[in-house]
Amino acid sequence: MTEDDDHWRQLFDTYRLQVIQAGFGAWDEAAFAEGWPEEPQEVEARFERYAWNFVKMLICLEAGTVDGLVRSLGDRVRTRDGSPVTAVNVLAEDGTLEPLGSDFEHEGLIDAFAALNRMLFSPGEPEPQEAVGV
Amino acid sequence: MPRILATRAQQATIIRTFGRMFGSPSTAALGRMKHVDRVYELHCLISLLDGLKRKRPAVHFVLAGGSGVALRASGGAIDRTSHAYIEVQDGSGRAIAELWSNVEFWALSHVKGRHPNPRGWPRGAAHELDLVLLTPGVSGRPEPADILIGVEAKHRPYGKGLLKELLGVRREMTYVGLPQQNPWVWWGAPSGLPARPPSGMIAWCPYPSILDYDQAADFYGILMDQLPL
Repeated sequence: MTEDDDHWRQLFDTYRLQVIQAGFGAWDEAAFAEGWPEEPQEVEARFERYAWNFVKMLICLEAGTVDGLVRSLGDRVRTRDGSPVTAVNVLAEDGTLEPLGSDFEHEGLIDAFAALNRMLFSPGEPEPQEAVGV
Repeated sequence: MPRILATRAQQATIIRTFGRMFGSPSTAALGRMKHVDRVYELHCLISLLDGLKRKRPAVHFVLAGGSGVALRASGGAIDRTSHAYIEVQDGSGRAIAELWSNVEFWALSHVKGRHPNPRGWPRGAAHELDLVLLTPGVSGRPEPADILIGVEAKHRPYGKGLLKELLGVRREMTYVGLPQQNPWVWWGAPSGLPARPPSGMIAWCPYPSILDYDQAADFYGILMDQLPL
C-alpha cells in the first residue's frame, strides 16, 4: 500500500465509523458485501464513491423523496371510490402499520454529510505541495 | 485522483470534528435502515405499473384490501383478510391480475417434489419476491404457475452474490423451455419468454454495476436493469 493509499484508507475508515455510528451499519455492510470487487481499485476513488452513494441513500429516505413517490403512485393507483391513493405504509411482521419514511429523522444529516463530502472531494486547487506526507 | 480543497491534516480534522458533532449512536438511529429498501420498492412498483400500462394501455390499477398501499417489511404468505394489494382491472372493471408486496411463493422443487421434511418446516421450500404480479384470487403462498411477473428490488451495489440469489430464485420459479408468450411482459424476444410456465422476472438496482452481470438475463427471461432513484 502506498503512502497515499494509507492516508485515504485511514480517512475512509474514520468516515465509515461515522456512517455506522449514525445508525447505518447495515448499509455500510451491504455496500461492502456486494460492491467492492467491481469498484475502482484506488482507495480514494472507492472512498469518494462510497461517500456520495451514502448521501444518495440518505436522500432516498428524505421526506420529500417519499412524498414525491407517494404522489406518483396516486397518479397511477385509485381507491375503490376513484380517488388517488395517498398513503403508503410499511407492514411490520407483527402486523403494525407505519407510514413509509416516518422512521427517518435526518436532523440535518444529509446536509452535514454532503458538506463533509464537498470538503473532502470537491473539485478545487490541487493539494499544496507542503501538505504531502502529513 | 480527485482534487481536494483541504490538506491531509485538515481532512483528518474535519472528519474527527464531524464525528464529535454527529457520531453519537442513538437507539432511534438504529432503525433508520429499515425503510430504505421499502422506499426503493415503491420506486420499482411505480416503474412496474408504468411498464404494465405501456404493454396493456387499457388496464387500471385499483387499491384493494386496505386504505393505503402496504409494503411488507418481511416476506410471507398472502393473507387476503389483512393485507392490501393492487388489483389490475381491464377496461370493464374485471380483475385480471393482482400486485402484492414481499410474498413468498412455493418453489418448483417443493411443488414438484413434495418431499416431506422430517425436521419440520422446510425453509428452502418457499422464496420471497419483493413485488409480484399474480393471477387473481390466490391465497397463501402462490405456486409458480400463479406468477406473472416477479420483481427483485435491490437498493445496494450489485455484485455476484445478488446475481446468484437472483438466478437461484429464478430456477425455482420456472423451467427453461421453448419461448412462450406472457401478455404482461414488455421485454425479451418477440417470440416470448424462454420459460415454462412463462413468468417474467425483473431485477432493478440503482447502481450501474447491475449491467455488468446481465449476461444470463435473456437466457432466463429476466429483465436486469439500472433504475436510479
